[in-house]
Formats: sequence, C-alpha cells, structure tokens
Amino acid sequence: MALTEKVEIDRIEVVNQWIIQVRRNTTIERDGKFVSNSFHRWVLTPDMDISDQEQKVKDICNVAWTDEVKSAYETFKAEQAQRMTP
Amino acid sequence: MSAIIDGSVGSQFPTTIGVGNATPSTSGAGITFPATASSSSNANTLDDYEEGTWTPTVTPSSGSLTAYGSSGIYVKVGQSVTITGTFILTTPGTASGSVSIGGIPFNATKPSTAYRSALGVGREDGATGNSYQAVLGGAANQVFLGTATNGNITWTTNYEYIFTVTYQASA
Repeated sequence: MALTEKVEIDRIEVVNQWIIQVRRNTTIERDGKFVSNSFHRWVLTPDMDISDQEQKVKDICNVAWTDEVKSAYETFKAEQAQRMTP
Repeated sequence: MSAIIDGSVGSQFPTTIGVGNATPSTSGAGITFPATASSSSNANTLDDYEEGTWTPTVTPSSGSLTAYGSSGIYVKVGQSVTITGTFILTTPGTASGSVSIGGIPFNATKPSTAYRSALGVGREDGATGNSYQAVLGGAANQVFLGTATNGNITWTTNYEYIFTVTYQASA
C-alpha cells in the first residue's frame, strides 16, 4: 500500500473586481484511490506582495489587477480606513 | 434528470449522496457537494459546503511585530462562513495599538449601507481572559480585534488571542 499526497491550487476566483480567492487542495491517496482531502484558503488584494504565490496565481492577479482596478481599490481602501477606526 | 422518492416511511441512504455530479465521498455518511460550487439562485437551496484552514496574518497599527504564530479554521455552509482564528505573540517587539488580521478565506459582503461586514467576539486566552470585539470590514477584509473603547489589544509576550466571526461570503 502506497500513500501519496497531492497538493495543488485548485481554485482561483476573482471576486468583486480586486479580491482574489485562492484555495489549496491537499489530497491523500492510497494506491491511487482517494482517501481524504483538506482545503486551505486565502484572499489576495492588489496591495499585497504576491512574490511567494504560485505562478498561476500570479498570472491571474496580473490580469485582474489592472492600473484602473488598483486605483479603484486604493480609493475604496482610503474610504474604508476612515470608517474602520473604533 | 430528477429523481422523486415518494415513500410512506421516508427514505434511507446508508452512505453518502453526491449532488451536482459530485462523486459521493467513500467515507462516512452525508451529502457531498461539488468541489466547485454550483450556485443556485433559489433562496431555499443549499448549494455549498466546505471546511478547511486559513492562516491569520497579524499587523499592529503602530510599531513592528517581531514574531507570532497563528492558525485558523473555517466552515462554509451556503453563503454563511464562520472563521475561527488564533495567534500568539511570541515576540511582540515594538508593536502597539490596534491589530488587523488578514488572510480570511472568503471575501465578505455586507448590507449595502453598512461599512462593516460582521461582528464577532475574541478573548485573550493566555493570561488575562479579557474579552474583545472582532469586527470584520475594511477594503481588505480584515478582522479588527480590540476593545470597544479604544480598539487596542495588549501586546505582551505569549499573550494568545482567539476570535470567531460569522459572516456572509460574496460568492
């Protein structure tokens, strides 16, 4: 019996213009048959450092985050920051 | 194709049911949803379930946080997401003021006239037992953990904070 682990980014979703949701799926198989899986998720925004993301995540970010989107995000962020202080 | 089960004593499924062409799980008993949710526009239809982990990122409003450890879990039922996270201040450094926590698993939506998406609770669980508000909002979907009066937390070595928020995902 051989147990194998497969880790892959299986979902990259662009939500509301600038939000990108990423899901990593870790699958355990025994002799090629599914045993279990687990998910790990995170959200990316245009002001984040994406240098440590997988290339396919970077590719989606670079397409989605146009200068126009980045500018709109910065405007939105500034508006929100004013309202988020206690 | 649809199947209608019309039994006078109900129906039994001994293992799992796959919906949306999902392969039924071979372990346990329950409903298996597709890996990619097939969203229904019907408000009475449960169309998604997922559980997993996330990694809270901790940022102080002032100073620099040298080191911390964190972990988080989530469960999504339909559009409702409950996140629980914890972080321990292993080396607080010069961090002070309030804390914003990023890395939540799903983008949050909010009532159209609201600035915040959801409210939850938190606690310093390592030494004091003090309670805090956990406010989800901001452009980057951050959780702001702090007191109601000044929004700050206490940045002390080995203080361990835990929080939970339930919110509505935007997709």
